[in-house]
Amino acid sequence: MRDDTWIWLIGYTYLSMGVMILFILGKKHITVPRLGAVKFGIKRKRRKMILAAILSMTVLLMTMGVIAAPSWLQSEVDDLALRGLMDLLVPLSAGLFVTVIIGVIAYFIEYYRGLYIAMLFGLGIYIDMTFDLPAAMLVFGVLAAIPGVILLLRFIKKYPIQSGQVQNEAG
Amino acid sequence: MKPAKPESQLSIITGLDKLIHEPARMSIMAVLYVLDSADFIFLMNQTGLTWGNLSAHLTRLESAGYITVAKSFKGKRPNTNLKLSSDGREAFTKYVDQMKQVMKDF
Repeated sequence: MRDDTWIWLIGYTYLSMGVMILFILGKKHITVPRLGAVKFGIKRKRRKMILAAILSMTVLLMTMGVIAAPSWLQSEVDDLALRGLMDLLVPLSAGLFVTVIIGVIAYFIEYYRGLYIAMLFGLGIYIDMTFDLPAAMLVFGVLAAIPGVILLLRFIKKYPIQSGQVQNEAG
Repeated sequence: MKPAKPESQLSIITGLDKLIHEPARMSIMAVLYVLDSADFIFLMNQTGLTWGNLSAHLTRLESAGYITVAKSFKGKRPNTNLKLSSDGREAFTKYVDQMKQVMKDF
């Protein structure tokens, strides 16, 4: 594991928290005033909770595996030729792991743009690990965000905030 | 020539709940049937009805006891939350069953 891995992990964690806060604020100030609020039935809520629990566990286990595997493999493999092979295989496996995890989540929540994000993140991790270039994740993050921003602008244009009368009625 | 439908089968059509058997109200009931609750804006977007039209239909459904309307405040803004009552759910289920039967008989 690189010396600065933990710094990057902490950075990513804070970044994720920031994005989550952004999502919550976006829902409150952009989505709800335009599309309204809705509560789904108990059946759907339960199914969603079970899915969320399974996916959270999978993500946690996979993330732990991806973090731990490189250093474990490097320490186990002494042969130089094998080590070279590992240098190629470990980033590839890590990238594939992340792609599969995000892809599966995207499939289950029917968020098909997530498959594009999954591929970008997988590629980002592969490049980061192979060329020791953590900034690659930021570049791929921006690439993942661009279609999102375009869709958000289109959404805002398509669904303007309702007139005063409706706002008063429905808030 | 096909024999005429027995009166009992045709009576299903005449016995349909006319309050629900209207496109706008049917769509309101259908949306609320699959949800726990929704607010006014959500219903407006889903049904494509105008504010006045939706408001009028909701008043009729509320008078019949098919939906419950809860008015509250979200911060400083009023919020109208709508929910299908148990009577409304029962009536809509009955209506759907009747319609299925009608279509089956065709």
